[in-house]
Amino acid sequence: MLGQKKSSLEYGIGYFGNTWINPGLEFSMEYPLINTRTGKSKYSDLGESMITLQGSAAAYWDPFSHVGLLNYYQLNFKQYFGKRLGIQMGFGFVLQSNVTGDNYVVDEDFQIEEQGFVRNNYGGIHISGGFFVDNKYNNRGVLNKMSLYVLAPHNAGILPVFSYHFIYLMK
Amino acid sequence: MHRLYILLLLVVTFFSCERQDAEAMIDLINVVRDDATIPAYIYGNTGSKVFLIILHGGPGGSGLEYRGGAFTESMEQDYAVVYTDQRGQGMSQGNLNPEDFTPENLAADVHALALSLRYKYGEDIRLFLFGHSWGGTLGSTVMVNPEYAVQYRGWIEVAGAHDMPMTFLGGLTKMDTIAGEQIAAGNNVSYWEGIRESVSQIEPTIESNDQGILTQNMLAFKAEQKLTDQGDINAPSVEYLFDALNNIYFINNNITSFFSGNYTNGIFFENGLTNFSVTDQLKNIETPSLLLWGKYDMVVSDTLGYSALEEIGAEDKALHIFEESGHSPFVNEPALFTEIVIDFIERLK
Repeated sequence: MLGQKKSSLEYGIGYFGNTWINPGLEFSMEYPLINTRTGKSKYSDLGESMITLQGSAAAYWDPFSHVGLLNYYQLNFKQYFGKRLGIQMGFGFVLQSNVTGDNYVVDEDFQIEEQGFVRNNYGGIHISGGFFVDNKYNNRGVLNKMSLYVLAPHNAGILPVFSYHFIYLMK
Repeated sequence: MHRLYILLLLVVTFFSCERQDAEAMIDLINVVRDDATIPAYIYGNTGSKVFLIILHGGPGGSGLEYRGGAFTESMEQDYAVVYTDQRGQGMSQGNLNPEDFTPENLAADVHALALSLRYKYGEDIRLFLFGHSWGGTLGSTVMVNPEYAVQYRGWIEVAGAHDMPMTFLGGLTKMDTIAGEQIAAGNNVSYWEGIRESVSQIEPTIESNDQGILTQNMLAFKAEQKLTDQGDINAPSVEYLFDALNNIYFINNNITSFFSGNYTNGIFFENGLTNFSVTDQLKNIETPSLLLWGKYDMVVSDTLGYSALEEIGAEDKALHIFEESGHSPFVNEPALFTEIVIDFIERLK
């Protein structure tokens, strides 16, 4: 029982942490595009290493400033070792919207308008790496990964953001 | 499937946790101006109708770094204290134009904050402005503008760098003087001779001397630490250190704050902050002014305090030098510092 079945959609739900003070929730889907190596004989329908396309949506909460909503899309290289353990490395892009509440919008003449929410949008690249452990039937697992995404333009420059993902996988 | 329920339960439990400090915060408002979203964290006694706006140092610091220890604890009992992250710093946000990072534009942000506080809490609130270090640069830029200054009952400048060339040159002189005094007193002679030697190697010119300015600033902080170790400067209390670490690592997203602040600091200096000075405009300040400096401040020396005392136009002005303090007297002598600030506010509120 090696690897992941061809054409099997893997989806997961889990914890997204943009540092320890910004907890969040993440939903992701991953689809194998290319099997670069498959299992032998009767396991030939299982990929041992593959390139996958992953799309994820996450929301995190900063208790003192804003809520962040992220969408990221990336290509992963995924490699199984042994029967259950594997690594996943990916590269893609991310779109982030930060939403703040209780806003006072001040114009050029210092006239004030109160607004409930204001949204700031950022884009950037995203890289990640981590490991996963599947159960012996390959139909459940957990994925641990760290990622770095670089948002721009944020405060007149780029902003590197690190996050941690702990995702419960279902196939 | 039950594992999924357990996971969801853990996530929900995590979201439902609130940190203790959240209970003490009265309000978080965001001032949106010129593409920036600038947070202001309001703690303390809003019923007093007295609001103290704290402008942090840097450029590159954050407002909540200042919330800690005896000083802000006492302030929050009597007044509302407003800790704000400036444009491009702390947890502020926005897709900003680097050309907008000037003291004048940030002074307009502070004015927008003052008006927003009046909008939210009423026109009858009484505002005081407090600026430390770079916050003194910014606060002075606010106060020399009569349109902005009219909002405030008082201006409290703490080791404020309202004249960057004077900050650099005064810092060099101060370090050399203190090193000479320490050598004469026989205290850590080799260390202070080394400081003197390092100071003598810094070119005392502003133009094209970013490295010299940076070196002076770093040496000043190191020398102040040495004076703290020797006992000339009072060490920060454990309570203050605990609060500061808590605020830096568990209140703000410190990674965001660190990267934003550093980047913004660089932009300010690219925009010519090295030559910035409002000394020739201090005569425009008619607001009662309290100037507070540490005797051993080598980062922003008391030369600027004496200069401001002479130049500020207000009749109601005073300078207090703290005998056992460096760059942050509210940390080194919090009890005396608090007493002086409260006396000032009580007299003018």
